[in-house]
Amino acid sequence: MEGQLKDIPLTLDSKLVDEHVDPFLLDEDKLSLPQLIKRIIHERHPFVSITEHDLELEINGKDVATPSPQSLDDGAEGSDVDTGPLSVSSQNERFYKDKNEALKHISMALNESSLSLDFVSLLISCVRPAAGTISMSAHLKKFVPPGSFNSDLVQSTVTPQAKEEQFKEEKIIGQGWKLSSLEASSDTLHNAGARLSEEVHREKIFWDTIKKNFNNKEILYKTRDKVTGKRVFAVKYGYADSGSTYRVKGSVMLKPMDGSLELVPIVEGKKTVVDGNRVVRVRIWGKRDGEDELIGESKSRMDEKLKSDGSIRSKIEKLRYFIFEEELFNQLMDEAVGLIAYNVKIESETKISIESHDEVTEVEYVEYVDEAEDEDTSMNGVTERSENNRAELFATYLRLMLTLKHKENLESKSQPTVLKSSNTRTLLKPYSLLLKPLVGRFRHEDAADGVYNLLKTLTTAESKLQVKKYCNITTDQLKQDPFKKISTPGLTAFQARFTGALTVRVDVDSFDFVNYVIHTKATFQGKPVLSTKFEDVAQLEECLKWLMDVYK
Amino acid sequence: MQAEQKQPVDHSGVPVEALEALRLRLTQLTHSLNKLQAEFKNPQLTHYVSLQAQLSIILTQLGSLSSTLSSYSDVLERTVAYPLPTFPTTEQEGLLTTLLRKKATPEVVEWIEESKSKNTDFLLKDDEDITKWAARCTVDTKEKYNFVGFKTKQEEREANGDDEKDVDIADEPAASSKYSVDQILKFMYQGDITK
Amino acid sequence: MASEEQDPFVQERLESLHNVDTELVSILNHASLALSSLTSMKRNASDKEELEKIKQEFAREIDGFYKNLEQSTIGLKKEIKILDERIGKTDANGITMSPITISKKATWAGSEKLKSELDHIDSLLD
Repeated sequence: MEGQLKDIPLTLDSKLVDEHVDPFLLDEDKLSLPQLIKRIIHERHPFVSITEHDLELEINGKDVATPSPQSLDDGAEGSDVDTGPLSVSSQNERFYKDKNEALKHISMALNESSLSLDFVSLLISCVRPAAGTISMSAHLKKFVPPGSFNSDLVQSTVTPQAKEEQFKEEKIIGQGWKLSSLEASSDTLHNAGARLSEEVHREKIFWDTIKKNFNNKEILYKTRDKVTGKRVFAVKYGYADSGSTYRVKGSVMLKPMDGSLELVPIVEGKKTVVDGNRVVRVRIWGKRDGEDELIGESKSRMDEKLKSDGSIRSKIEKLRYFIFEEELFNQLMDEAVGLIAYNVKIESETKISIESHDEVTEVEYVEYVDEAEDEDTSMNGVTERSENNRAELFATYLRLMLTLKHKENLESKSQPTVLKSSNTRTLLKPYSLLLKPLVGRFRHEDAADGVYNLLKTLTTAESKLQVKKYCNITTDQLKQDPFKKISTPGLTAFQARFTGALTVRVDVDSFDFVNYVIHTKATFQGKPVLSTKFEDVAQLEECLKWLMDVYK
Repeated sequence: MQAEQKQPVDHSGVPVEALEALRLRLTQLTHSLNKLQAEFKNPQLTHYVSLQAQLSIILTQLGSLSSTLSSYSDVLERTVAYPLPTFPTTEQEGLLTTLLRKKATPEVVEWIEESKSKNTDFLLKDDEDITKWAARCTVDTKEKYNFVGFKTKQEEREANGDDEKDVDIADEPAASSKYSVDQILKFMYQGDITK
Repeated sequence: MASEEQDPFVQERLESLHNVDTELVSILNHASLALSSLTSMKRNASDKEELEKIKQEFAREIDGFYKNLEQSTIGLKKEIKILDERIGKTDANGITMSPITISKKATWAGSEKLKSELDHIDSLLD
């Protein structure tokens, strides 16, 4: 414990002690010999134990380990650009030097003026003791009784000629002072002018950049830079104002750095898990002969409208694009967690796969490769595959649904809020889910296909089969909301007439997109004979066979 | 000895008026310098504007002090101060010499020498003439320009021709429609800007 | 879409404010030069020709000083007047200077993205 305490170095910065001489802080270089010896004994124990060898080692060790004066550079964009490449610590030194010099001059002036004041008050105290004692310093009052001075008028012994000389000399001195002060003020003004013209130039560049890159649509707002404490402009490029509730609010600061504007992101909270600029890509793998073959791929479409000319505007557009992709993938991940029972698997942090009976659809969050930079033809433009269109449509559908979600969010904000019962969960709000309706639609189609095939095999040439899709949506509803087909769980109705008077109506319905229910109603000769629900097609098959047996 | 002590001291030679005026100025100056010194010693930074204000106050006080000195200069030049026996000379010898010191400090001497060295052999009268001319020229030039309202020169030119044109606003905006309070409130709360 | 740059009114205002700034800086330069010519006048008090030249220089600098001072003060006043009169009015480009501070929201971003995705789907299905 004692040893550990000794290893801790303690220093006291003299500047903190306010320039006053603290009698308890002895300057180590100015100690007298007896004091030095006392100090050495205290630090290193009796002189007997100090050897030359030890001292040599210590001196050499000290040379190696001398800490070089570090230029403090922690986020030193905070240092004023005016001073150029000077480090912060040397600025501090200059400042303290100047401050101390000014203080010295002030103290000197103060001394002189208080001395003169004392003199005058002492002199006047013999005639006006009250006035004198008020303005005398305490020190003088203590030692010198008031009224100890006197003065007399003496005859002027100065000849008029000598007086002329004196007068002239004084004038010359005054002139010299005036001349030097004129020069000094001229220099100061000139320097100030040069500094300010630099500043004006910088301002011009700043405003020119803003003029060129921002029309009235972009949101510029004033904020404070956390590092420098100065006020800067920042741009909101995210979709938060359009209804997004993503945790990363896209904001970026416009910082003037070295003659141009830089975009510096404002990061709140933890950063994203995966780095780099990534886009969402959809791939379709077909199962053929037991192996997976890539049959479709979507491509990243950023190049179309973005000119990558390095301007602030294009940078902001890019940021906007990427934050959309990021939010999209995060949303898909969140949903995929709950869809694991429906053949949706999360393969890694950047991949979701959806399995159906003959295909696997992969949704990946891959790094964006700038097509202009990449010369490799296999990546260039995505090779033509049979299902490219389908993959592309899939990806575009996902993006579209996200924008719809934002829009719904935004519109609901403008309505006055109604307190609903706590049973309604926010997840069931229309358009708040992207993947679930789609996966549910696939499953529904599968089930409907199964029922169709079944009924087809069971009905003969005499029977009739009617199929109606989307029974639960009217055209009026569609006109109001063009996306109703995906936002409501599907309903496909089959009506079959078997031989005789047996009519069977089969409805494939769903209550939560992904779990389907098969309603079956049978009538025989006009009278209802059966009305049940089934969970899968096999049960339906048994039922229909029994019906046909019984009601021939 | 007793006679000496009983003898009243003649204080007629003390230039009371001058001293009173000087004392006043000196107290003010000392007080402001004290304040400034305290500001500088403060480990926290004070705003430079307040420091500049104090500095200008001190400068004015210095100015008034020097003018007071020069107005009483003839009286003060012929006055000599000396200590009375009541002054504890033996104990405070250093204090006494400091109080009565008339020689300038080395810094001041250096300052004066520096000023004298700047001197070229120009005549005092010429120098004053130049200054007078420069001041007059400045005032005359200032008269040519107008700082209130709008430009003098242009006004002169236009006063001959058409009427005094006020500020010409380039394009008068097309639809000068003002919004009512209700419309503004509606916009603020519903985002609805239709009229 | 409208031009990518700021509205011309805003551009004009920024330009003229920049000009005022430059004038203010040149005031300092004029003052400095005037004072230095004054010093050289004093130095050259004996040489009459030199003195005349420097006198003219001094007069020029003082003239420039006051001229710029006048222009900048009046320029600023004009700017303030223009901005003041513009409040509440909408011009041909639909730009309104509002008398109160409203924080704008970028609601157009979502609609734009929606439209672009729909266009893409249209192109795919054609």
